[in-house]
Amino acid sequence: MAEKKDNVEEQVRKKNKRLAVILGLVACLFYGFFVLMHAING
Amino acid sequence: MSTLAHDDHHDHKPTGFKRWFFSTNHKDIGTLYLIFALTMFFVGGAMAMIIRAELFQPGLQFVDPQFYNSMVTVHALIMIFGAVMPAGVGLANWMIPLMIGAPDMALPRMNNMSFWILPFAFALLLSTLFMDGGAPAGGWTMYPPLVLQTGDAFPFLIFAVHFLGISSIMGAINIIATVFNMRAPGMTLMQMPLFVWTWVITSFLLIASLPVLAGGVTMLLTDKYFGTSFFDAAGGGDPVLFQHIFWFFGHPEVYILALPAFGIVSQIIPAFARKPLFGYASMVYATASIAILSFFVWAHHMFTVGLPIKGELFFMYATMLIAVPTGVKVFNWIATMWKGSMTFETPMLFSVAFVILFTIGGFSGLMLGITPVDFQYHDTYFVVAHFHYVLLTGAIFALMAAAYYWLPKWTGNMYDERLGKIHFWLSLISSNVLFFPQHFLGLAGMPRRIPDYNIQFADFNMISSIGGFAYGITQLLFVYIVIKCAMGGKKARARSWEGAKGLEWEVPSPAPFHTFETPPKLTKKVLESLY
Repeated sequence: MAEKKDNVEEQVRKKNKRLAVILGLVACLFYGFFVLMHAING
Repeated sequence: MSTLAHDDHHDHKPTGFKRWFFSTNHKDIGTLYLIFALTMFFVGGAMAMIIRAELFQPGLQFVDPQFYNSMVTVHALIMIFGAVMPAGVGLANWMIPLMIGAPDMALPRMNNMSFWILPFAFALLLSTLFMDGGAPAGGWTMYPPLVLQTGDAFPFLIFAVHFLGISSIMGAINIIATVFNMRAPGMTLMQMPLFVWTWVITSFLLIASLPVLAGGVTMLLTDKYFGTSFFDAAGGGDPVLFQHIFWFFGHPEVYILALPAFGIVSQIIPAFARKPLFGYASMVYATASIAILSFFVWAHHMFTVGLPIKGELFFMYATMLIAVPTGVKVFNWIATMWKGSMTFETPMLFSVAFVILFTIGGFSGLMLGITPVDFQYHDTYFVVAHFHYVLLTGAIFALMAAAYYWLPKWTGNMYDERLGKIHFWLSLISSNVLFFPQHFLGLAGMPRRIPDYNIQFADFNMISSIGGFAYGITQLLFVYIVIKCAMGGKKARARSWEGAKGLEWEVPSPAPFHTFETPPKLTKKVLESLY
């Protein structure tokens, strides 16, 4: 029973990390896109 | 029901320095955020007192114009990034896991880091007050070329803004991961409390808008120190480009401050009207609509820069459109109160005042959104009155309501209701004495961000300053009420308010250090009893 709970927790932890990385990359992309776009225009 | 709530056997917690500095507990981090926000509220408030003291009479009384402009600039940065936003994040930290039946935030160590970046960022910002050339004085909007005249403080300002952005983005990621991955089994998205919904939507706004600000201020930095000319007309750049970038962030930022306030009020009004929230689904869709529309209205802040007429019309109509979902919300709050068994404890008083006063701020916002009218009002005290109605009697009143509403859950004690009501009435009267006359000042043509003014503006400025001092002193009463409540008082029950519903009221008061270690099973029947 405890093992099953650990497995579920581990899965949730992995899902959390994956979502955090994706959202972090989205934020970095917005930042990079803005600076880069204006740098190219400039 | 309260048995589905927590694990008593397991309620150990670290003590002393380690508990707070290395904390990964959502309740402790929430408390840290709230204490930090309250501290910054008083630091920014002290600057507001200097501003109002200087404006008490025409002529230069206490400070030189450069320092006055620094006060205006740093007051805004502190109140927005140091007081209102962290207070909202503090509430989110404390309440979201409790509301959705999660044991903690999804990424607890990142949560710790998000908080501890803040004191360093504000140390950077406040250290500029003691530098050659003084603190930043070009306004919180940091428009070039004016902001490029800032002395040694400039890189400190830029890095402080970057750190604040990083902190907020990490906080936003944490909230989204918590809500999407950690809800108790059985709780669908459309069964979440509205406070949770408003924070999810706010988090997406943060992730989409803050990197744009960070990009803009990075370009300012390279313009000043690395020879680029993004915003320098002499080098082929365009200073107006910065205004576009800034307000592409700046307008969603307004909703980053306001949406959590909507969520708070949507929790409190049903509790004290003893009725379910009217039109739950329409509230969710209205919140999402406001968030999406907020990315299409930025240029209403810059009607006077010389936009093409089609552009001005587009941004004017888009701005008008935001009134529709906002109107839906106001209608739903009123419909929730309609024929309810209402009582007026302090959280409800602040919430009702929020609905009325935020609507006044919304109406003056509509006036400013009309292009030809804005040509008259732009950069006058009418704008100052407008955004203070939205942010002080709006966002801060809602935050005060939230503090009173959840204090029993946080401390285990009821606050002094009589003092709470005195705090409310004094705040209500003084804030209106402070800001309502500023509408008249603006309509009469008094410009903002000036330490001296024509004699014709003297009377209303004096009234406004008296209101300001009264409001400032009144907030000391709030601190006294909070400390008194934390030290003791009448013991709070798990469900501290008769009409309060939701999972957070199923855990004992004060909320144990660990809650929902085993997720509650939310069957349809349980959910019906909860909401």
